[in-house]
Amino acid sequence: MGLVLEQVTKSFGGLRAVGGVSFTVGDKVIFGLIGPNGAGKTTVFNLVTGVYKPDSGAIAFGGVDLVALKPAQIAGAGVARTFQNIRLFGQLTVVENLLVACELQKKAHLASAVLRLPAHYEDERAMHERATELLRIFDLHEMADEAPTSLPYGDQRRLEIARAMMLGPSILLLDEPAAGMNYGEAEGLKTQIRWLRDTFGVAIVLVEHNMQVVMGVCEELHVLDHGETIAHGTPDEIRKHPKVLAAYLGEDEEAPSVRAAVEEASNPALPDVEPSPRAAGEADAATAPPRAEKLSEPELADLSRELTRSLERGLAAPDADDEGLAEPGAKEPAAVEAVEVVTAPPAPPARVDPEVAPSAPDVSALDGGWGSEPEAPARDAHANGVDKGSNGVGPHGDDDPHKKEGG
Amino acid sequence: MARGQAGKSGGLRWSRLAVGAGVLGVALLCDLYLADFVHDSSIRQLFMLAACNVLVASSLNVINGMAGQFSIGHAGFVGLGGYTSAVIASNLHEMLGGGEPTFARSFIVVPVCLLASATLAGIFGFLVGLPSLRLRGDYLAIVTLGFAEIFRLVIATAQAGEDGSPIARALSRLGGQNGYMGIDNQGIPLYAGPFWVFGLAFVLGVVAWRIKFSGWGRALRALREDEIAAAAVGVDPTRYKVTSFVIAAVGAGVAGGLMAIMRDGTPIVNPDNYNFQASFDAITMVILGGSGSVTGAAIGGVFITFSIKAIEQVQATSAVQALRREFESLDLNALRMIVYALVLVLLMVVRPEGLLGERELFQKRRGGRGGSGPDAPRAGAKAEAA
Repeated sequence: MGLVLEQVTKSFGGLRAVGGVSFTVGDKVIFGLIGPNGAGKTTVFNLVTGVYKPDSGAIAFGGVDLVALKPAQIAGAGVARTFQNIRLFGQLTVVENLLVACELQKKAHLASAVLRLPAHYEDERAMHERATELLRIFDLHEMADEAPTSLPYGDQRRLEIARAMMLGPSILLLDEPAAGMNYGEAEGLKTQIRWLRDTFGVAIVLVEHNMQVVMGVCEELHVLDHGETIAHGTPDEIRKHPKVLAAYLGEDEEAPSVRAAVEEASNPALPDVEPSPRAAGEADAATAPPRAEKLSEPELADLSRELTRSLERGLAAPDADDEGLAEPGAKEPAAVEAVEVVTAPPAPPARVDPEVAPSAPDVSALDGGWGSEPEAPARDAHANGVDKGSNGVGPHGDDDPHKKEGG
Repeated sequence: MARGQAGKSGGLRWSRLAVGAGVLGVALLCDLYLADFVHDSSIRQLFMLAACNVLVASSLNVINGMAGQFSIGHAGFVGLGGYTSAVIASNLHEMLGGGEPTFARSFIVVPVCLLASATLAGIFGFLVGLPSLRLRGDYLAIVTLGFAEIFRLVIATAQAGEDGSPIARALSRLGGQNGYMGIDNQGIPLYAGPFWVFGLAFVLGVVAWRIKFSGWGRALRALREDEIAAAAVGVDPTRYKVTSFVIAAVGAGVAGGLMAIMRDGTPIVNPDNYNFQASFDAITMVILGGSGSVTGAAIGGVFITFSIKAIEQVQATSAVQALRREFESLDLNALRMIVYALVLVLLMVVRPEGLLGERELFQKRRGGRGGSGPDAPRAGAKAEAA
C-alpha cells in the first residue's frame, strides 16, 4: 500500500508549486524526493502532512485518504515528519518534546488528569517509559531534562526524529536532515537512515539536497523541477538522466558537451568544485584535459565559458523557496551542495575539502553512529536554523502558512 | 515497579484527601466564625474579593498564559456569570420564601447558580473560541473585546418598549445602566460565604494546576510555541484551543457568579463592573504574576485586589478629599490605570515574563513529572489568606 500520490497539484496565487505529481512509496522503502531549490519538494511534504490542501489530486496512505484529514489526524494515521528548519518546542524539556507526541495515543482524557484518576498515572508512566526508551535509543537520555535549544545542532535534529518516532509511524518524512552537516556527519546520517528503517520498519521519504546522502541511501528517487516530475528511478538511473542534469545545471539542450563535461567532472579523481567562478573555472580546467585531444582550442574555450556559466546559474544561486536550507550559513550548504551535485558517485573521505568541511572529523565518518558534532559549524547552523525570524516565506511560504493568514 | 507505583499513588491520594478535607474544613470555619474575628465587613469583603479575583486570574491564565491566545474580554465572561448567578439566586431565594440567606440554604442556591453561570459562560466561550481558530494575536483580542463590550452594552441599554420582543423585555428587567438589584430591587441575596469562595478558589486553583501539569497542559504549551510542529505530532490545534477557551470561560463564569452573590459583597450587579477596565485588571493580574503560572495568577489576583482597595483607602483620606475639593477632576481610581500601566511597562522592561515567569512557587523542579501535586503547600497559602 504505502503512500500514494496521484496527480497532486497545488498553486499559490499564480505560482504552480506542485503540478500533477504522482508517485508511490512502498513499505519500508527509502525514497528520495529531490530537485533544485524551488522544485516543490517541501510543498509536497506539506501536502502529505495536511499543512496545505491540494487543489486537486489524491493522497492516500495505507488506503486512508489523507486529503480529508487534518494534520493531527494524519499524524495519527502513521505519517510522521521532521522539518527543514528544526521545529522543536523550545520551552519544553527534551523529554517533554517527546511526551507531546503521545497525546494522540493516550487513553485517559483531560477529566482524568484533573481528577488524577489511576488511568492518568498509568498513561503518564507508559508515556515516560516509551519516551525514555526512545531517548536512550537516540542517545539523548542524558539531556532529558534540558532545554532543546541548548543542544547542539545535530542533537536537535536527532531529537526531532525521535519525537517523530514517538508517534510510532509507518512512514517518516525527513525534510533535509543533512542541511548544515559536513561530510563526516552526512556519512553518519546515511547509516542512521538505514538503521531507522531496519529498526523501526518505517518507510522513509527524504527531501535532501546533499547528493552524497541521497545517492548513498535512497533505493528509489523521484525528481521534481518547477513542481513537475522530471524523472523517477534508481539512483543510478537518475544520475545519468539527461533531464535531471539539465535541471540541476540549467537548461542547455543545445550544448550536450557541457553535460558530458559535467559527468566527467563527477569522476572522483578530480578535485572539488566550489560555486565561485574561480573554482568553477578550475574545475573546468581540470575537466578539460582528458577531452582536449578531441576538441580544438576555440571549442575548449567555449566549453569552459559555458560550463562556468552553467555552474553559476544552476548551482551557486539558490532561489528563495528552500530558504531554510539556504539560510544556515549561506556559504556552507551551498558549497556542500555544489560539491555533491557534481561529484555524486562514491567519494572517498580523502577528498573532503577542508574549506567545505572545516572540522570534519574523519572518525565520525567511519563510526557511522549518531556522530559527534563539531562545534563551530553546529553553532552557526543552529543559530540560523532555530531562529524563527529567518524562516524563509518565499512565494511558496514553505513552512509557515500562518504568517500569511495574519495579514 | 507497578506495585511500588500503585503504593505511592495510593499514599499520595490519602494525603491529598486529607489536605483537601483540611482546606475545606478551614473554609467552613471561616464561613461560621470569620465575622466574629474580622469585624470590619469591608475587610472580609476584601479577602473574599481577592479569592474571586484569584479565580478570574487563574481562568484567564488558561487561555492567555497556557494556550498563548490573547483574550482581552475576560470581563464579559465574568459578567455573564455574575448576571446569571444574580438572577437565579434572587429567584431561588424568592421561591425558598425569602428571609435571611442562611448557610444551610446556600447548599441549594450556590451550586445551582454557579452551575448555570458556568454553563452559560462556557457556551459563550465556545462561540467566541471558534473564531480563534482562524485568528491570532491582535485579531483574536479584538473579537474577545468585542464580545465583552457587546455583552455590557446589551445589558446597559436594554429597554422594553410597549411591543418589545420577549428577549428585550427579559433583558430590560436586568436593570439596564443602573444594575440589577434582585426582584423588586430588594438586592441580590448574598449566599456565597467564605466556605464557597475560599473553597472554590482552592479547588479550582488545584484544577488549573493539574491542567497545566498534565499531558494536556504540555500539549497546550507545545501548541503555543509551534502550531505546525504540534499538529505534526498529533496535537489538534482546533480542539485544544477551543477547549482552553471554554475552560477559561467556565472559570470566569464561576468567578463572576461567586462575586455577584458573595456575602459581604454589594447586593447589586452593574454593567460597569464588567467594562474594559475589569478585563484589563484581569490581564494585569496574569501578566504581573507571570503568564502561564498558576501560583503567579493567584499572586497577581491577590495583589491587584489589595492595591485597588489601598488606592480606595488613599482616596478616602481627608488630605485627598481636601485636594479633590480644590481640583474636582482628581480621581485616584482613574490614576490607578496609569499606575498599573506604569507597573506593566516597568515589568516588561525589567522582567518581561512576570514575577514568576512560567514557573510555580512550589514546583519541585522544572518540568518535573506531571504527577507531583501542589496540594500541600497551596493549602498552607490558602489557610494564611483565609
